[in-house]
Amino acid sequence: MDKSFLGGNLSSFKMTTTTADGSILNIRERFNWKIHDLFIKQDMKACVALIDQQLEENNHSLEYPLYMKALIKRRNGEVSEALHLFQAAAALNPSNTNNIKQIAKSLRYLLGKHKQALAVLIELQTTTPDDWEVFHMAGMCLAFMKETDKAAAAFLKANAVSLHDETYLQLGKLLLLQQDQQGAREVFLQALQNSENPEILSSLGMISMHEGDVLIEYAEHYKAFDFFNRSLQHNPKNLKTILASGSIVQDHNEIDSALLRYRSAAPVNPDSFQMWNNVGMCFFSKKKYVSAIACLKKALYHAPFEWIVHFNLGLIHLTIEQSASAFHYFSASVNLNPNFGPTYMYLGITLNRLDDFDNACGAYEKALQIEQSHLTCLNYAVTLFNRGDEERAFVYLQQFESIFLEMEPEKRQEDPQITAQYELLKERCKSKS
Amino acid sequence: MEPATLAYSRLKRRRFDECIQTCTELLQKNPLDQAVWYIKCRALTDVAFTDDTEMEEEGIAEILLDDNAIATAPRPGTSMQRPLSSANSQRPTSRGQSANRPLSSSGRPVSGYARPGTSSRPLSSAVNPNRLSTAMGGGRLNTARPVTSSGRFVRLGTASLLQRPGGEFIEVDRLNLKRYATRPALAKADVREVLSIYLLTFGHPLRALELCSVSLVESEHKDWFWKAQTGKAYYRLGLYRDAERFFLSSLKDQEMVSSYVWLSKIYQRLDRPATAMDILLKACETFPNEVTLTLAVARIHDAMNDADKAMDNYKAALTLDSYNVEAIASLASEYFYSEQPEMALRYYRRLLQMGVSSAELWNNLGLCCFHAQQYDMTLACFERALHLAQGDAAADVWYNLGQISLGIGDLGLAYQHFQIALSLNPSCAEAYNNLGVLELRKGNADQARSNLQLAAQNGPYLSEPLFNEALLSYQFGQLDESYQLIRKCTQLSPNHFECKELLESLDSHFVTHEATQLMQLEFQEELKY
Repeated sequence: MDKSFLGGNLSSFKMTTTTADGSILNIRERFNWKIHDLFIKQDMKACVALIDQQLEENNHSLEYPLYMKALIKRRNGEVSEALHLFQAAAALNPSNTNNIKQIAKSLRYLLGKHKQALAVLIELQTTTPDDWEVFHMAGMCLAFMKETDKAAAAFLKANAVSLHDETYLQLGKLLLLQQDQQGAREVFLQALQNSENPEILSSLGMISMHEGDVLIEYAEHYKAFDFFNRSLQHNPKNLKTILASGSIVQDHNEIDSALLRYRSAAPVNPDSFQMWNNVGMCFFSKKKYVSAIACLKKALYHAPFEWIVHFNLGLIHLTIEQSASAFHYFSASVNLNPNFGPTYMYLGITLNRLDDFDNACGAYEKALQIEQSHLTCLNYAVTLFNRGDEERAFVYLQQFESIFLEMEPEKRQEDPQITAQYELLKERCKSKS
Repeated sequence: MEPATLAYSRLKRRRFDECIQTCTELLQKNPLDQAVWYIKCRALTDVAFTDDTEMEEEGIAEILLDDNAIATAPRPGTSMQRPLSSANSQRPTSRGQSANRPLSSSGRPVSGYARPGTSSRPLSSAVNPNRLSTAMGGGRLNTARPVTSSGRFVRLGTASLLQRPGGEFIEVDRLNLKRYATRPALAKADVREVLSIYLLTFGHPLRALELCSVSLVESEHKDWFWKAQTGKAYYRLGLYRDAERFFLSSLKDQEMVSSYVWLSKIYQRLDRPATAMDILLKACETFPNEVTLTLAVARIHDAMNDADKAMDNYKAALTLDSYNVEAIASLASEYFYSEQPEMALRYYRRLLQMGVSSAELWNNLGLCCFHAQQYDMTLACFERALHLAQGDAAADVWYNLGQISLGIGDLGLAYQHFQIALSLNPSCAEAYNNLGVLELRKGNADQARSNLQLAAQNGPYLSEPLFNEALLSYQFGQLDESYQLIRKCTQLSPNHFECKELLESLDSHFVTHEATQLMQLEFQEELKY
């Protein structure tokens, strides 16, 4: 600390002596300090005016003003002009790698010229092998060009120079894109050893949550919940994290605390359809159907293309026995996402309630085509039985049995209604035959 | 019957055309018959009279050369030109209003009732950088705005009256106004009043002003009518300050509803809505049961984008006059946009019962039915709307049908509906935007981009196409374009969350990285010395 301070002092001391000498060697750069000063004070107008004046006086051959002007231009989004200025600055002083780095950066931002940027960066890697940012940027370019392996290697090199959260995040994202959950998790965990970055924590939570969903393991969910909580401590306004933590709580049937979490999300973005959807489903679990419908409709207003909101609305309308509306929402949901089995099953139930037996059968069969779910089989069997088609009902009942009895006993007891219905139907079938 | 009596009787029965005909015949026989002349004058005036207490459209000249505004950068909530800036406008949460109410072509939230002034006045340059272009374009199809406003004082159906063969009824330039003022005839005051109204109605404000000033002198500056009339003449001449003075003085002599309304109209023209409101509220104390005043208050609230207060006033107006179309329509649209389509449906049905039948009404009914989940009625309503709709209205109906198709998840049908809407009204920015989004979902990025660009061109007041295009550019790695678009977008809708998020992530690329670099560079510079 002391040392660097001393160093700073020394250099400024040097500067004063040279100017006191009255040497005109560096007189052209005598306003650089002022340009810098104006820039960090965010007085861009004055800064540009000063730069222009300096450039005018010196025939546009001053490196630092050119560089600064380019920076200001880029801040305003005029990247192509900025690029020209950076190139001019680099032509004046080819040894300054900073200029070349900025050129690469601008190229990447400008029209997404990743290939050209990469070429510049590879050249830079030879001259400055100890700059993490060069490797990091190269990694970003490669990632964008879909060369994932090379990109990962570049990120690792960047980390070898010095450790940065940003690099870890990009590397983790890259691995996630390749479906390498485990690898991504390791990368993020490694990053956590250096610093508690809320974004990394959130990403870790997401990975755990998804794995918990796939494996249906509560331990993973608890882990995810822990990560989310830690992330929220650092950044309590991250919408994604709030929503994800809320959804975990909601999955475990703690509706009130889930609602509490969503309430803290509302001021961050009152227009988030994910939030309204989840809030709606919270009300649904509390059997407050009118509020649930209101929330879900709000979600639908903000995201008309989300099939899951349509699906949820259909569920509620089915529960409150408004079959026509339910049909409408299920059919919209099917239109938007034709690959989700349960929608067809519910569509079948709805159509049956609307006395359209033939189409109901069609919907059930489509659902079974997509996914052999025990629930669909049971519902189909019940519908067929109620319509007096005992033979086919018995076939689907057997199908249900074959799936259901293979499941683990724990999962079988999750919903007592299923077993009750199953047993009732079995008895009826026997008594009929 | 004696012809003059017949003419008078026809005037009383409001059969103006026949009355005018009789009078013309009589005057041909005897051009100096003053009684007949008087009857004809009144008949002509009554035919061409427009309700002058309504606001009228402003012409380009008034908008661009507006030297009446006091402040060029008014404080939020004090100017009609920036309704979106008022403190509670962005999110009137009390009734849980939806985030975005559709905007009219000038960038103002649509009102439930089409009336002059609300839909067309372009917002100030701070909100809308293309002020000039929106000022020139009137409605959707870019019909040109009148160059000055006086052309609009003529009622459409009566425009032909102005150019009758044989010239105008009164040769205005040859009138000896002093003679009218001093003539001690019976009912001379009445003749003068009719004459002054005639002059104003037929666009001779200067002569009317002369007549008024003469009469004022004669009444020793005590007659409220002549003061109000002078004010109107000044208003027509664009001298709002003088008009204000005369109306204030007129109100001192005699409090009249029309004078109050006129005064508030003048203040609105001067872009001082708060003062206009004060005047109206004061008038409401004197005339508590006057619908006109309540409606005028509601309109100002509406123009200032203060939906809650406007609603209260519309409701009050309805208790006074349960047949008021404007109040019912405004309430209905407000309920619709605050997510109570069932309530809106009831109001619109009331309008239907009252005999209103237009494409807009059926269209709104259809939308309400859809959102209130009465699907069987929806399409029937839209069919009727299409049957009645013409021009722009038809395009809007097709656009709404597109929204309905989106609602039932049939994207192909929605695509076609938006295309039809565009074929009828090629400058419908919303349709372009939605087409762009649909193209994007199909994966046609280029098509989507061109559609979004068209949307941004046609609707410079819309933030959605800008945001969509910025997102598109961002996904394709064209960060500079994205950055520029998103910066424009945040200006238009500063509260949009996704917009802010994107801007932040772009900012991190464009701004923060440099700061550290700058310090390094500075260090290197110093070492050189």
